[in-house]
Amino acid sequence: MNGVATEIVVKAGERRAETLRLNHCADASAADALRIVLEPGGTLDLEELHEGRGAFAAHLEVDVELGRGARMRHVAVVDDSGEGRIEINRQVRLAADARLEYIRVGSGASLDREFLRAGLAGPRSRFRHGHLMMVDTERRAELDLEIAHHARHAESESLCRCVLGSESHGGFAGRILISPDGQGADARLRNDNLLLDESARMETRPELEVYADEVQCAHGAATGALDEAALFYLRTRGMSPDQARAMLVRAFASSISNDIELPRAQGMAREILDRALRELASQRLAA
Amino acid sequence: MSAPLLDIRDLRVSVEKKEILSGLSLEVRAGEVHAIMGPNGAGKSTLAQTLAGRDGYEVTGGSVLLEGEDLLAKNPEERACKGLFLGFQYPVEIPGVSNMYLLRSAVNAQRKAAGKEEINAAAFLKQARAEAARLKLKPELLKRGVNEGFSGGEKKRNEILQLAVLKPRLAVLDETDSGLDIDALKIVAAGIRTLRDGRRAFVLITHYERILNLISPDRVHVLAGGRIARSGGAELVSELEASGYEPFLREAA
Repeated sequence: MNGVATEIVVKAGERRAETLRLNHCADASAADALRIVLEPGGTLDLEELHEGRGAFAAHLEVDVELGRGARMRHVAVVDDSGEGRIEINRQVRLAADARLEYIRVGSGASLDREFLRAGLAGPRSRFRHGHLMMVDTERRAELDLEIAHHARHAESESLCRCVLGSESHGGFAGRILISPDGQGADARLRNDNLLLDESARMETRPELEVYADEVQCAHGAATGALDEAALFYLRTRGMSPDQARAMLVRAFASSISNDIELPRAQGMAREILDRALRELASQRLAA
Repeated sequence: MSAPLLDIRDLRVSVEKKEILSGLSLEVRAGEVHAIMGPNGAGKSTLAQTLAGRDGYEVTGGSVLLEGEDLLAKNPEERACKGLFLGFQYPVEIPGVSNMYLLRSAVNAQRKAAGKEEINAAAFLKQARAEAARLKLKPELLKRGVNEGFSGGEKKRNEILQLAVLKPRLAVLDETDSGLDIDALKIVAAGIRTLRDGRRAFVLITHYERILNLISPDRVHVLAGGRIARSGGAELVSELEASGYEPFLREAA
């Protein structure tokens, strides 16, 4: 399906599970556009699995539309060789009572950039979002996110976690927007970053923009190194420094990775995590 | 008499260039329970952290042997695998690492160091649950992140759970009794007594007489001014209760 638009339409009341494999390489990039429509009451489990080889450049437009009462679990994983550039421009819209759980995992790339716009257009719609980046050495990952509450009593919860290796670079710009029609909104936005090396860099900017009176909103960000006290504690129980570090990194990632329920995406995410930990251990050995 | 399990000679330790331990000597034999008491700032926790190998505790003199081997030359995990256990005064919370996983990983790390196979997961789960029940720790605390959201008493009992599972040769318990109510204290004391056999030894760092009434120590030491100012039998505890540390501080000065 190189260079073509892909469309998945889930009919009203229908239940579907789909796996999309998108392979990117230097001379051919996969689908340029992906359109997903869930008609009212439709249910979809979608695994969107990207694998990149060589110095590819991929640009993907993704449009997701959930009709009234539709339910979707969506996991997108981007595993990259390190030389590629991938930019995903993702728009999602939720009608009344629709629920979307969207998890995105990545290894970082020469550039892995996701531009995500989520619109809670219908009352009582719910959006749950996790974004996990295991940014290996000299890679870069960015998330530009806006979650907009345009209807009453909508809920959103977004957690972005980045683990950054040496000479890597991460960026997070996240915004919750509550429009005047978004009364009764419950919105949470968080970005936590773990720097595994002094040379890693992270820029984070969580923002709130609220035009309604009765809302519950929380936003925050924290960036730091591995907890020395926890490392020491584990070592006093017999764990080697590498084992202790790996346990803490896994624990950090687990608040997103544990929520991945779709098996293929889960396997791919696990590989990315394992590889990042192996790289971390080998760097220590070299140092 | 047999060689001591733990042999500390003239130990000097500085933290941020300030000398905290100034020539501390202590011998602990297998089977013994020693209590170390002393005023705040005397160096009790410095002793515990130094024995466990924490960074920032600089040994400037003296020696520490565990079963005849140079403890100070080993890193923290080697000390643990050699049979040293530190019960933390402030156990660390580690969200995302389940308590059960920590226990099993610790046991397996120590078994691996001893050239043994990994423990059978199902059998170990059963054993850990039984030990937790003995310490009246709710079973769900085994599934939760290490010490995550535990009460002060649960954290201390969790340290004793690790002790019970790891079965070290030497346990250094740093104010494990602080912040425990009477019931929790009895549970902790019973946990320690269970492990008190001829092979193991305990060093209890404490401020209070009450735990020593439940675990009769073989020896009691007063740590003041960075060294052992006085040693005696269990009767020293009641003397301390009466006199306070003031006389020892004067002696040490």
